[in-house]
Amino acid sequence: MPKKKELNPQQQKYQQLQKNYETKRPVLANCIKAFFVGGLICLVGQALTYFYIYFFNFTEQTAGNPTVSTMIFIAMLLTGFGIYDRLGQFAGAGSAIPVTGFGNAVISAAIEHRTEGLVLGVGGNMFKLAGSVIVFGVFSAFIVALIKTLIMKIGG
Amino acid sequence: MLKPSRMKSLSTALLLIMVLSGCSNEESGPQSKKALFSKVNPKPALIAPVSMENRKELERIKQDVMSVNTNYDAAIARKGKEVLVSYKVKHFKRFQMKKIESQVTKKLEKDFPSYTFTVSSDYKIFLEIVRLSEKTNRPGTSTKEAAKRFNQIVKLKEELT
Repeated sequence: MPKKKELNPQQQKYQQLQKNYETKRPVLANCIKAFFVGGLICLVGQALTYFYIYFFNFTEQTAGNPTVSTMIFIAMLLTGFGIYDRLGQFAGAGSAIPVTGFGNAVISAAIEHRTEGLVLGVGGNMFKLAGSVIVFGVFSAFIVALIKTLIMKIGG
Repeated sequence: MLKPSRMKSLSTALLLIMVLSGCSNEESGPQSKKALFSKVNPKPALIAPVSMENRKELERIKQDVMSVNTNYDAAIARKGKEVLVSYKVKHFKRFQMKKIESQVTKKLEKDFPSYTFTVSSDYKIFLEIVRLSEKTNRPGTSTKEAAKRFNQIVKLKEELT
């Protein structure tokens, strides 16, 4: 790791001055907002799971799939309507971390690059942000599955 | 404030959800309506052979399941020598579901060796047993119909594993 450059007195003074003008981030308030909005999204997801268990022939294990699909679909619709963006501004990570953030990332990129054409614009940029989520998600799932298989083979 | 066109789209989506939620053809009784959310303590469903002694035996099986201190609700159904058992696990104990399942199965097989047990902690299985129990306690339900439903629930449980 490169050694941190030592600042001369003039630079130190400038940094001190900069600190005085910096807007303080409301970290605690942001955390609280993210906690409640993220929790609310999860609550909707749980209600949907119960909906699929109660009205359809899904078990607790299989109900997760339609729930995730529905949540992503709703987030995509809300992004199209411009509602999810406002929610994102308010809640930050609270709306980005749940699976709905994935739907938002796909659709917002598609909307942003709409002017560049359907193939190279929408098609080429749709998974610009969500692509990395898929790659690392699949890769980490593969690694975890490999570790689990090895442990089960060794440990019985 | 949302634009009227957006409000229209949102209300259409909401209406669609409400219409779809009415698609279910399951008849729900008072217990099955809240079976997913709270403790309902349902009556065991005895399909065949119906007798006072068998009812008492089912109650004993239920007590046995409830004696495991991680469980807080249990639903039981019996058809011949086959017994379907489902239970709800306390929220903070849900990380040990597999361990609890094998513990309950072993306990039941040891205490009631003449029966074949199908044990599950899945909410869907629990809900279906509660529905079956309500069905069997309703007048006019045939044994054949109840037995068919019993087999369907066992099949659903087997799909899980």
